[in-house]
Amino acid sequence: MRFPMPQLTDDEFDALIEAELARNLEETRRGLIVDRSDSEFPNFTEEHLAYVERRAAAVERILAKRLAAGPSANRTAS
Amino acid sequence: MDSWIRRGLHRLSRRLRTPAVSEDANNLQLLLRAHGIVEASLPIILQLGEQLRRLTRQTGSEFGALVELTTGRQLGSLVEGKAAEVDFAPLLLQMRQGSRYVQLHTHPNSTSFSDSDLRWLVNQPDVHVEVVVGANGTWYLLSRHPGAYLANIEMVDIMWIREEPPVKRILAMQALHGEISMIDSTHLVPHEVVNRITPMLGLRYDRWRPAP
Repeated sequence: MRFPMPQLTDDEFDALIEAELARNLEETRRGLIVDRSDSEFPNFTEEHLAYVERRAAAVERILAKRLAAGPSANRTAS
Repeated sequence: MDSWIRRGLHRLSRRLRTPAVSEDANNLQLLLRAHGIVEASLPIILQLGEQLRRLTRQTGSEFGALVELTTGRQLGSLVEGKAAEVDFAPLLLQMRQGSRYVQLHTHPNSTSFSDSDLRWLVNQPDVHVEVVVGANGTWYLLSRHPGAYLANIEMVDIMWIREEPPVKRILAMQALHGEISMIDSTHLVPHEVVNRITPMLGLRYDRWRPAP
């Protein structure tokens, strides 16, 4: 189960999400399926919803950084 | 507006509309055909899906298989995973270039495709259809729209993470108002996210549930 991390700065939080994206890429390239959404059923607390919203905002920032850096930076792990 | 323009727009909107959820469709075979499953492989897919489902009910683990789309030939053996994962690496090695495949696996909690399932499909260009069979008998179907631009792994991640918050807010609200149970609200998250993002990813999505 994931937890919100309000104590982290945006940069620290973004780094966590970057690591999650890299892990996803690696698992997929190996042919592995990890169905976290079939096993993790969070309670819809405000804390959890705040976390997923922060995660979505982090992805927007990561995407913006990658676009600004150009095509060579457009992959998490090559 | 001129009637020929109206007719043109109507035709265009029909083409663009994705029949994403067909839970009222009572014929699983029709849906499988709509996803490109040919007659030769249809009975094998149906039989295999049921076999995997029974194994999952017995063990609580995910099970998976790969089948050649045109012949229905199964590649290697079934793969047994864990409660929330299954590794297709041993079967991927047996795929032949130029052939198209159907991947099936089970979900013990009967939820829809996960983000990992979507990533897996877009990363396997020779796999045309992905099927998830829930332990409760629900079938989820995902296939590539012919000629559609297909997204990559990172696009799946980005769209999933973007769509998760509004879907969870809506489902939480519905649970709060007693429209759905709290359990349903959390179990429905993957279905609602997949339903929203698959048209943008060049994928067709359907869900079939057996009659209660």
